[in-house]
Amino acid sequence: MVSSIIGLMWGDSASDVKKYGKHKLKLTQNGWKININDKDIFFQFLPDSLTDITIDKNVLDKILATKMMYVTSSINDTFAEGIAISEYTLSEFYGKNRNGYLQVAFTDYSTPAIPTINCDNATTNVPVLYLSQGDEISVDMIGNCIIFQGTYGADFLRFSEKIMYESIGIDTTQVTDG
Amino acid sequence: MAGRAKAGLDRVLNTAKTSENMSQDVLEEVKKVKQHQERDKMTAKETGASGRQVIAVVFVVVILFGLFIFIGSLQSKSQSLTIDDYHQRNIEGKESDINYMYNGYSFVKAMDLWHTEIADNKKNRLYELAVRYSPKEVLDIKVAGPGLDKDVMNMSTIYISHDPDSANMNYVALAAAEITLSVSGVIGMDVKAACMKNITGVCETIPIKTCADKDSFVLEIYDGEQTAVIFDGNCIKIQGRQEELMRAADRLLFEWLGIIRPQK
Repeated sequence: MVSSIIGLMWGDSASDVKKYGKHKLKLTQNGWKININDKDIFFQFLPDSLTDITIDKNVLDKILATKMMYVTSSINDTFAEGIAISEYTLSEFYGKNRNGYLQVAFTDYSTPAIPTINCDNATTNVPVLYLSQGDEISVDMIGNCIIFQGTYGADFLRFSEKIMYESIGIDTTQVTDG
Repeated sequence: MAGRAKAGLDRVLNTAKTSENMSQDVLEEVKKVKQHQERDKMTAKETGASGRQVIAVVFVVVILFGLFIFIGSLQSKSQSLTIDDYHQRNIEGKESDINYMYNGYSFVKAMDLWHTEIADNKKNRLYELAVRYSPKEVLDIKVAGPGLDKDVMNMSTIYISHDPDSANMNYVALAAAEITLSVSGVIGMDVKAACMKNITGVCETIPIKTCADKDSFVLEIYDGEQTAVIFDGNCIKIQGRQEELMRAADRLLFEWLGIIRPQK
């Protein structure tokens, strides 16, 4: 939320650019932009605001190593909107930067075009990311199934952006001076 | 004389008796031999019958085993066919329910998704497009509107905007993810999630965009009764009820990529 307020004030000078190691994030109309391998990647949150989400290295490795992943949630989840934004943010990232793809599904609903996917469907080659409402923010991995629980809608986008930052080598585990 | 005759007679009688005894022995022997032969015949018959049964059983087992191996090999052969193998079958004209050609594009269904390949001649590379529906499954969807402005395709960013009041956000996510993957990967545009109005916590964190923002390329996703795709100036609208939204999303992609030629 802080970053979105900053976002509304884009066009400022000193606060327009944030440095994280060798990377620079520039504030634009579409959020914080970084250019990696001639491709622009946009973020709504700065790395500093994602430190409360802890992702173990083995979980991150699992997510980043895969070319295809199922992303699933309950069709009745309270945070359907936040989950939706997270799903298509991750979809773009996978499609554009990793030449892979995510398949979005539900845990409790199916049609011929929408498979029912839950943790039982997770395999080494095609892991499952299960997004769900929870009492606290948590990231767990059971077998090849990664379970993220968020406490409000924007947590799911924050989780997606944390994965994206980590994949391009920006540390999101500690607050920096920028 | 009479005594010699009696002795001769006795000898003859004895000889006859002996002969009779001998012939009886021979008869008995013959009888025994016959009985043996009969028994042997019976045994041979029984042995022959059970032997044939054994051969028949072995024959059936061998046939079944062979059949089992044959079916197994057929199954493993079909299971081991890759997406590329099916594309090859399409090229060879061997189409089926899960692989067919459409307007020069090869479609193959695998892992619940339809796969095709799009050539980007400028970058000299092939993109794999994976969608939920194939062209034949979305032909009935209405495509309307005056068309897109020429310059919007030169814009670097498209905003995929949703109505936060929508009762079916889950389907919006499915449709948006389907379009996002293709637009960012195949078409090469930056895709930004956006809201049509700022009324939820999530919408506070992302841009607010509608078709009224004439300087932006906006894709609005509606939860609507009629399934349709509308091209209008700087704006594309897709609408449908629940999974119909996904069909509309795929119809949009096929039009956009030239897989389904525009209706006249």
